[in-house]
Amino acid sequence: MAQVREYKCPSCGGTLEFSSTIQKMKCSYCGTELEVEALEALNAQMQSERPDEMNWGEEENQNGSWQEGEQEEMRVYVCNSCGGELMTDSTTAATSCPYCGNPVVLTDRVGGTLRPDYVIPFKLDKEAAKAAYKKHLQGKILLPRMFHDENHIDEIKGVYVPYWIFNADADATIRYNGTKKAVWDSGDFVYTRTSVYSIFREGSIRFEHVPVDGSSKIADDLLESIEPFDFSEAVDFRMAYLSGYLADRYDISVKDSIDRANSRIKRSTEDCFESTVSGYQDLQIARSNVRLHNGSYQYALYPVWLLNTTWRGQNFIFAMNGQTGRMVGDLPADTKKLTFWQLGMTAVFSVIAFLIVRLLF
Amino acid sequence: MRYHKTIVRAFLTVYLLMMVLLPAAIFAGSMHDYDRVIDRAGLLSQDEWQKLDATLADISEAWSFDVIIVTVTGLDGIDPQTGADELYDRGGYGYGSSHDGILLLLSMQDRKWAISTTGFGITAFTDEGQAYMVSQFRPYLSDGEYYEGFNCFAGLCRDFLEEASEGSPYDTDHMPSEPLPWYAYLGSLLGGGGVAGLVTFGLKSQLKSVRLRQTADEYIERGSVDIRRREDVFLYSHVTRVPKPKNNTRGGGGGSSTHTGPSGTTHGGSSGSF
Repeated sequence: MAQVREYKCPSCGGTLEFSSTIQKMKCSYCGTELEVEALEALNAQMQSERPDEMNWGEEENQNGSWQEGEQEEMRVYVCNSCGGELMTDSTTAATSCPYCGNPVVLTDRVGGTLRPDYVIPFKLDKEAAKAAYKKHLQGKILLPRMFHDENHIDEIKGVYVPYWIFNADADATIRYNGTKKAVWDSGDFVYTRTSVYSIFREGSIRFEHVPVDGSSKIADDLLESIEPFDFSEAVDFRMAYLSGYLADRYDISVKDSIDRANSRIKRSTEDCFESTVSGYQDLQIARSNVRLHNGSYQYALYPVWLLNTTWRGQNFIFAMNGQTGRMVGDLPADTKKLTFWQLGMTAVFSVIAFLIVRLLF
Repeated sequence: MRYHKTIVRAFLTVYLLMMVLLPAAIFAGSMHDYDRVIDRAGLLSQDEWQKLDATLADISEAWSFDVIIVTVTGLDGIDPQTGADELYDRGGYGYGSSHDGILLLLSMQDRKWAISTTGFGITAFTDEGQAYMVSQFRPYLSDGEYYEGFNCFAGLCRDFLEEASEGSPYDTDHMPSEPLPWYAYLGSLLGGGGVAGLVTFGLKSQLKSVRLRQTADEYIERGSVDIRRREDVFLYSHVTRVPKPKNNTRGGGGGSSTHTGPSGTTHGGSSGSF
């Protein structure tokens, strides 16, 4: 059962968590603070220690049996603190024990070939997420009043979301059709000269760290809406960062993710090249070729706060970038308020429109 | 031949006046010194006649300006404009030395109307102004709602006199505001609804913050954009021409056109059919 990792406080034996405020490991029992590197070193020492072995060779009784396929989906781990059994789905990489509440990292989910290259540690805590949520609701006139009730949030969780990070040089050749118009009048006629141009641009551009989320559990549009993440703050992956948060491993392969990156890179390249074309009244892409090379990818975990709430039986999910604090999440409109505003505004603007008509005619 | 025609006309005029002024004499001595509604064609009931006459008297006395309505069965070939002028002159209407007043004549046989203005009336009721008045009251006359039509005329006279007494009579560049047609109300409602729709759409879009990103602009490496070839090649051009829009500004300085009636008085006025 070496697959479950808990980080024990060297001072009191309590469980250590990564604290986003001090960017260190912290014991919530005695307050001891530890650098992530120091903790990793200590753990390496402890791993090489061997327990007493007084094994009589008896095999454990294996009662009960898994149905076919079920075992691949669900895995059972044993909590190091209380001995409780943890059942997780196949993508969970970090969670907390449902019995004692201690944070656990499932090492086999983030080890070996599944080991992330980088992690951006959480910079903002749960309180920041709550504050951002409150701010997110402000100034939204049609929002149902219920949402402003603080107890309305069902769940707040900090999740390390698996991302594929793509880097590539893009070579592009783009041809545009452009028209220029000149208008003048002479005699009784207005003349328009339309000049047609063929515009050509060739060049290169480099994209660094384009993220595509590798988890099918969280909606793509939600995660793309909290971008961008600042990759310069990413650090080499250490398991200890996951302690105290939830983490998933990827379940969408890099091959399946790359199309999304490609389409965004192509569009950005076209936009960027188009910004160098000016002076045309009408501009359209006639042909666009974007070729990628020197491509590489990495596997990284990015910090995301997820908030859940339900309203009239409907589930609403909000996401906050755990690094920048950017908060997103669609909200419903209160039908009563909507009707009130629609009718009220119609009345007001109709009167204004009528007064204008009255004045003009 | 010409002489003969003049004789006939003069005779007819006298006949006409007799017809008109006789009843006026009968009712004389009531509230006013003379009647201002002379309904020879019998279009009004006694009650309507009384009310209308009182209204005209009120206006006339308030503005020291005679407002007269005359209806006749026929004009026996006399031009309605001339008829109106002569009725006014011979009737001795008008306030002051310039005989300020206006007369509306209705001839039922040939369904003609005519307006004759005199003195201050020429100033107050310009050609354009009269055209506007006619456009307002003629529909009633055409529909046979004479009492309503005459009331409308009286109301318009009051408005026009008020405006003219302030020194700016209604004219080409200064017309009374017409009641707006029904589609102006509908248009305002639709326009208002449209703007309200835009506003609520804006309010609704406040609630939406989740959308897929189309670009990766944030991840372009700084300084990595290198455009090696730029060519803007002119291919061809063509010229089209359209006629200039014509200016449709209405010329004309407005004002009143005048003519001199048979008795030598200067009148303004207009006439037409209903």
